[in-house]
Amino acid sequence: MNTISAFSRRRLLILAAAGLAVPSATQARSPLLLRVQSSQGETRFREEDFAALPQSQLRTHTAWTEGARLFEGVALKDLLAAAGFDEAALAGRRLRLRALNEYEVEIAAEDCAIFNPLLARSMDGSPMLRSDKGPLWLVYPRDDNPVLQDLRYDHRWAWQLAVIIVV
Amino acid sequence: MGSVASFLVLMVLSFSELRTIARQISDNTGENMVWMFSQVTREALTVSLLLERGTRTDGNWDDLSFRLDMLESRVRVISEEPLRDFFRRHNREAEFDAFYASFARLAIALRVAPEELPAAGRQTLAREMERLASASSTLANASMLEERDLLGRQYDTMRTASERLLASSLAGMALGLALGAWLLRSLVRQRRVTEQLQQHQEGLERIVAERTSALHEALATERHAKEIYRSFITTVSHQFRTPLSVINMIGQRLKRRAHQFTPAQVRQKAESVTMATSRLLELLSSVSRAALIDRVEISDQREAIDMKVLCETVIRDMRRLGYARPIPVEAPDDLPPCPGDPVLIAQVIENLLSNAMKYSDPASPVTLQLRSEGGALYGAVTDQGIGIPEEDQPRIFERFHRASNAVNLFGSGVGLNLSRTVLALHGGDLSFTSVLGEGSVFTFRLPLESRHVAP
Repeated sequence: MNTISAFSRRRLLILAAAGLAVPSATQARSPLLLRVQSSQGETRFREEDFAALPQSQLRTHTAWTEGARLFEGVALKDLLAAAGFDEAALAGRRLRLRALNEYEVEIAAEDCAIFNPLLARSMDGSPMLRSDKGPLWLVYPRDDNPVLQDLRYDHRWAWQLAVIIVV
Repeated sequence: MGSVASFLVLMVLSFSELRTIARQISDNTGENMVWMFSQVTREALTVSLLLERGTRTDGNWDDLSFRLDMLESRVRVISEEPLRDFFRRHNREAEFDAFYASFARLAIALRVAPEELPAAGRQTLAREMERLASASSTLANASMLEERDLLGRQYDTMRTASERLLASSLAGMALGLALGAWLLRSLVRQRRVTEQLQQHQEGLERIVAERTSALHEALATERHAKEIYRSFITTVSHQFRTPLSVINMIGQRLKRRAHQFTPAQVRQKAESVTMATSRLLELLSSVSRAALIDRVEISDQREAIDMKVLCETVIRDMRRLGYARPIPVEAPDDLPPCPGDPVLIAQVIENLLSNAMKYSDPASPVTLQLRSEGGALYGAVTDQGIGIPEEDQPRIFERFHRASNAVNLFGSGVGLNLSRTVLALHGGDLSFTSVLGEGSVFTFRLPLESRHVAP
C-alpha cells in the first residue's frame, strides 16, 4: 500500500466536493462519511475530514470484483489514530463495523497492525457510490496475503461502512 | 514393483481430487448467492414498504433513496463477475437477466422524483417491488438447491477420494510391511551365513594356531637337543683334554728326570697315568654309547642270549680296562635264554655296573643278581654308594642329566637314557630304588618271548 502525492489528495478533495451532488441530498453541509464511537465518545468524519487525513493506495483482487482494482483512501489505522486511538490504545480491543444497512461484523483491532486494511473511498479513480459499495469499503490486501484468500476473511470487508465502534 | 506404482498413482489421483474439491469449497460463490438474494429480497420489500408508507403519510423520500441504494448495490454485486458466473454455471442466466431488467426499470422509475408520482402509481411500484422481491426469493431458493446439490456431489467425490486414498495407503503400507518382512528375513539369513563363515574361519585359525605351536614345540625340542648335544661334545672334548694332559705331563717329566724320582714317586705317577687312562676309556665308552644311538634305531640283531655268560664277559672286559672291583654274578642254573641284541644288552649291563662302581666307595661291594619270573628276565645291580637324591630321581633317565651330587664325578649323563631306550626296544624296562647316602638298586627287565618293538 502506498501513500499518494498531494496532487491526488487535491483530486480527492475536488471529487469530495462534487460528491455533494447526491440525488436526494439538499443540505449545504457535506454528508457524514463515518463515525467512530467508543465509551469515551464519538468522532465524526465528513468528506473533507476524510480527505485531510494521510491518503493511501492498495491494488488487489477482491471476492466481489473481476481482476485487480486500484483502491484509494485512508488506512484504517490512520483514521483511528486521528480519532484518538493509536496502536497502544487499540491493543487487545475489538472493532465493531456497522454498515449502512445495519450489517454488522466484529474484527480484532490488531487487524490494523497485521494486515493494514484500507478504508477505500474510490475504486479505479472513481469515488464509490452508495448504490455500489460506497461510500467507504474496508479493503484488505488480499493479493499480498495468501491467508486472506479464504472466504472466512471475506466477511471483514464491510462495504457501505458507516460506524466503527471501538469495543 | 508394478503394484507399488499403481498404488502411488491412485494416491496421487485421490490427492489431486481432494485438492480440487478443497479449492472449489474455498471459493464457494454459491453460498454468497443465497445470502445476496436474501438481502436483495429484504431490501426490495423494504422499498416496497416505504412506498406504501409514503403513500399514506407523505414521508421523507430521503429514506427511499437510501433504501434504493441498498437494493441497487446488492443487485449490482450479483450482476457483476465473479458472482454472475453462478447463473451461467447453473443455466439460469436468462432468468437472471429478466430479473435484472425489471429491477433496472423499477429503479429508474423510483429515482425520478417519487413525490411527484400519484399515490396509485406508487402503489403500482410497490406491487412491482414486491414481485421483484418474490422473484429474488425464487432465485434464492433455486440457488440454495443448486448449492446444496453441488455440495452433496462434492461431498461424495471427497468421500470416495478419501476412501480410495485410505485403501491405497493401507495397501501401500501392507506392501511395505511385506517388503520389510522379506528384507528382514533375508537379513537374518545373511547374518546366519556370516556367522557360520566366521565360525568356520575361527576353526581354521585354531587349527593353524595348533599346528604352528606344534611346529614351534618341535623346533624348540630340536634346538634344545642340538644345544645339549653341542654341550655334550664340548664337555667330552674338554674332559678328554684333562687326562691326556696329565699323562703327557707325567711322561715328559719321566723322560727328563727319571733318575730324580724315587720308586715310590714313580709308582705314584704310574698310578695317575692309569687313572687318567681309565678316565679316557670311560669317555670313549660313553662316546661309543652315544654313537650306538644310531644302531638302536635300525637294530635288527636278535639272538638267544645266555645272560649269565654275557654278564661275566662284560665284567671280564671291564676288568681288562682297569675296573678292579670284583663283581659277583648270582644266577640260577636254569636261567632261560633271553632274546635280544647282545651288543646293546652288553652296553646296558656295562653302564649299570660302571655307574654302581663310580658312585660308590672302591671298598664297597657291587653285586649283579639275575632271575627269571613270569615270562621275564630280571637283572639287579646293587651298590652301597652315594645314592640318588630324591629331587633328582625323576630325572635320571633324561639324556645328559647329572644328579646334583654327581657333578664332580666324571660322567656324561648319556648312559641311563640309552640303557632305558635299548631295554624299551626289547620290550623291557629299567627301574631303580635308591636311598641317599646308602646306595641304589637298578633293575632291568627283558621279556623272554621275542617282542620286537619298533623304535
